[in-house]
Amino acid sequence: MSVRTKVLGLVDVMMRVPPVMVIDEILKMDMGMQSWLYPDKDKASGALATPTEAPAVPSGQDPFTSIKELFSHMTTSAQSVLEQSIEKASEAAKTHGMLSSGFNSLMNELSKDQTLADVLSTTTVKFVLCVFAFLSAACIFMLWTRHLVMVYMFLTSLGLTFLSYWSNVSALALTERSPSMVEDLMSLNTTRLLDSGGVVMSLAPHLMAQWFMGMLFAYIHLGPRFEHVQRSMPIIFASPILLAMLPLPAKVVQHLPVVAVFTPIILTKITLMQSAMEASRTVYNGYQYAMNFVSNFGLSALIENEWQRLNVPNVLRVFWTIRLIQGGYALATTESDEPLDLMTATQKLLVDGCETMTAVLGMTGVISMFCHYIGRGFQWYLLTYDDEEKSLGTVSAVLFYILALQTGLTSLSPDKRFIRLCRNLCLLMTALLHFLHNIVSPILMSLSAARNPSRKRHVRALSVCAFLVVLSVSLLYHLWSQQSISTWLLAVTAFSVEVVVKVLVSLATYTLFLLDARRQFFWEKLDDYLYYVRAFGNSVEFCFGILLFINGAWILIFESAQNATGGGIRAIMMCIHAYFNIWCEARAGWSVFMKRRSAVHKISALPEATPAQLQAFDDVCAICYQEMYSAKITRCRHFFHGVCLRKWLYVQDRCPLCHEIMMYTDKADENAPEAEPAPAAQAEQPMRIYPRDDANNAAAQRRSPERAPVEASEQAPATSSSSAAATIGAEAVSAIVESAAAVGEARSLVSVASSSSATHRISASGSSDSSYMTASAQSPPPTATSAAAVATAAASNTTHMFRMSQDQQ
Amino acid sequence: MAGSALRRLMAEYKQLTLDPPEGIVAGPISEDNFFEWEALIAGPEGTCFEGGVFPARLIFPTDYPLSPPKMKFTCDMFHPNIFADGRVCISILHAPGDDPMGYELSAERWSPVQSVEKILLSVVSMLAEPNDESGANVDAAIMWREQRDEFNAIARRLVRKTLGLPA
Repeated sequence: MSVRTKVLGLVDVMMRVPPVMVIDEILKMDMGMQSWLYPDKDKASGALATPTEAPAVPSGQDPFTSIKELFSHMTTSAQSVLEQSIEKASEAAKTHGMLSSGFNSLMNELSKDQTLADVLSTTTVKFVLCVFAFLSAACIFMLWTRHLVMVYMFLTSLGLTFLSYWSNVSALALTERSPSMVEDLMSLNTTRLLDSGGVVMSLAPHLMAQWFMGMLFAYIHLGPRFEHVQRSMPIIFASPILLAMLPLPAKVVQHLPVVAVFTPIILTKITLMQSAMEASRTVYNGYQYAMNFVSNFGLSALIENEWQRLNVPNVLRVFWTIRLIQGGYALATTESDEPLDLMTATQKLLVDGCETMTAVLGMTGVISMFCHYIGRGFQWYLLTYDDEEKSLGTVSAVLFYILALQTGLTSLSPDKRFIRLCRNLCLLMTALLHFLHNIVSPILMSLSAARNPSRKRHVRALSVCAFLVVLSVSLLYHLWSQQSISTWLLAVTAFSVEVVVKVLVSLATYTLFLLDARRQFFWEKLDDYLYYVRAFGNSVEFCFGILLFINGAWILIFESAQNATGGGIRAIMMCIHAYFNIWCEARAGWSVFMKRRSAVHKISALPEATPAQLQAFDDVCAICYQEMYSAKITRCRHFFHGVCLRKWLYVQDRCPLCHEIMMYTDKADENAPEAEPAPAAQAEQPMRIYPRDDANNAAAQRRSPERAPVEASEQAPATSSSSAAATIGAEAVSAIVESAAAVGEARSLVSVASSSSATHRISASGSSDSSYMTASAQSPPPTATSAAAVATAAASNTTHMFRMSQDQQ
Repeated sequence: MAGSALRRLMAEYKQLTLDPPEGIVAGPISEDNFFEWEALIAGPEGTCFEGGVFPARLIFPTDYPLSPPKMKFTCDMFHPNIFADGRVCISILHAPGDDPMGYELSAERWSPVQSVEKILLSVVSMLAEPNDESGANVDAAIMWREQRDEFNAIARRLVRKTLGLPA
């Protein structure tokens, strides 16, 4: 089943390639407007058009010859059948581009015998025909597969009609030079009948071909199917040859092929009239479907859905490959004139490969496939598999296409086009290096943070970084030694230097993290070093962004004046670059800088803990769970590492433990408790406990009489934890108060009995939490046990801190 | 920054190993990746989830504990505060700052002094007492509020499903 699905998919792709080829031919002819001005180009496109036929459609020469003969017949005899044939040929030319090329060549040839006014009129007609053919090919490309099959069956039946006519004419030309078959049969002249070089042997293949074509036409035509017409179709196709055996006048024999073709043309015309109605209905239904899709899912979803249904990337790749093979075949056939070396042949193929917009699209598809597999290869080498791989090919394709548009690749002469193509590929390669760095950088970060990574993964990641640096530097050396300075060279240089700087920044960060992992104690300078390294990298990128903007402005003003479309696209890209890469980056960098400065200032305003205070505190930092050899004391008398507190101040301007706002009045508040006597401090102890519990226990906070007016105005509902805790708020507070002394005793016992190791301290914290849970669980109902545990667990640290503060006083 | 997060996670893992809370088992998936943990949470006693063992996964950011981890149940769950795909919606896991919708106070949201143990205890509490006013699963919230018996039946069915018993 999957094999059959793949085969059907491949057939669908192959069926969509010919419309793309038609569009490519029309673009190559410059929509029929310049073919008169450049007769050589017209001949070249005519020659190229011949072998690019669709498999189901006959070659371009046959309809051309048929149409020419039809025109010559028209000059001699004005019969209605001929008029219908000509009308059919015109409609066929409008429907399919291959015939359009031949038809336009015919009109071009006829117009050479006329005056200039006729030439202008012919050009207008050709332009209209090309536009019509372009739109028809685009519509055919977007058809559903079912309709596509019908179109191809129609074209095949039409082609069979013309092929039959041509074959009949060729066969009748043979019979003109010999007497009739019947006379030989009458006189029993067996020598002439069995002669190997005679007419009989020549007619036999034509007869069999006519019979076969008749059967095929009867099978695949889309007109009404009458039984007797179906059965007699082979006879109708072969009738001219059969009748030519009779001794008929030469004038009658000349008209036999036209008469024989009458029936198939009638059927094809009926099909066309029916299809016209059905085609308009199909177009209307497609429009309705698109409008519904846009209103329901959005325009981007419609584009994405059609992109997948039409299989656009594969169609473009097949189209470009066929185009390349055709170009190679043309070069091989003309190689006898002069020997071409491989370099020149490759250059010519690449230049022809981006001659039109459709060819550029095809090349884009091929390039995106290459970049996609390069990304997959690097990910395989780095032993990582992400879904990021999809973006590599897509981004490369978009980048290449934008470069082609803004440099006006299709409108350049072949020599300049090759140079421009090489430059665009160089820019694409530097962009590819950026993408590879984006793949390897997260891997370096995760490797430096991993606990026991395998050494092989380190070696692979580092080797990829070395590869990026070496490739960028060698590219720079090669370009600067060979090329003269230009705006393009500056752009490539900026991109390459950016790659090197990015890789060095990643390596420096990786090294710092590795060193940090080796150290046993807390490294306070690490954060500062990381900030400096990253700030350096971002500053370099920002400067190069400005340099690229100036470079682009120079190109826009001085170098793109002749190319309006490319200039417009370049202006749009410069606006996008200025906004995203310069303005947004500057604003983000400034924001980080100001946040850091503000946080450092706030940290500096907090008092430093003395060694005696740290020894008395005897606990780990609540943020990083590591030993504290230096600490800051908040206004609410909580101890944290200065670095940890600074990081948190980036996020929120509140104490992590009690959520109090950290103001600059720390010293004034510190002096007040010290001035009071000891009995007053003891008397204030219950009040100090209660407000902090309110901060942690929102429900208790709401139930206190002091905040009753505030609670009435609050409409926000409480979470389930707070709701459950409300029922035991009073009990929890009393339990905490009662357990404070017990915890104090436990802490003193632990501090006296145990050593100063981190393990014991963590165990002590855990045991304190357990004792709190046990104490609290006795009085509240069973259903609220876990809620009480959460509330008391959150409050335990607060009680710890408060207790230590009380002891210090 | 990832180094300090790694140290903190290692310290928490050590503490959970030495002194595990009742009904909760948690640890990193592998020693090569400490930023992704898996946990087994026992349904609280006396509730419709009693007897169940529910597997979940926690993914920690590299700037932990400044940012909260993401928690997701890897089994089928039907609960007002758990999304259909298993993501847990609870205040302690929300990024610090005031809630724009006004449902939570900033004191209830994430803080760097929170820990994996407290997160899991909060989830156990959430299983026992759902908050039906900020529903991650609207159907479950309505059913828990208006058709409690049916909600309990579904919960018991899920419990048997996680234990591998026929429904």
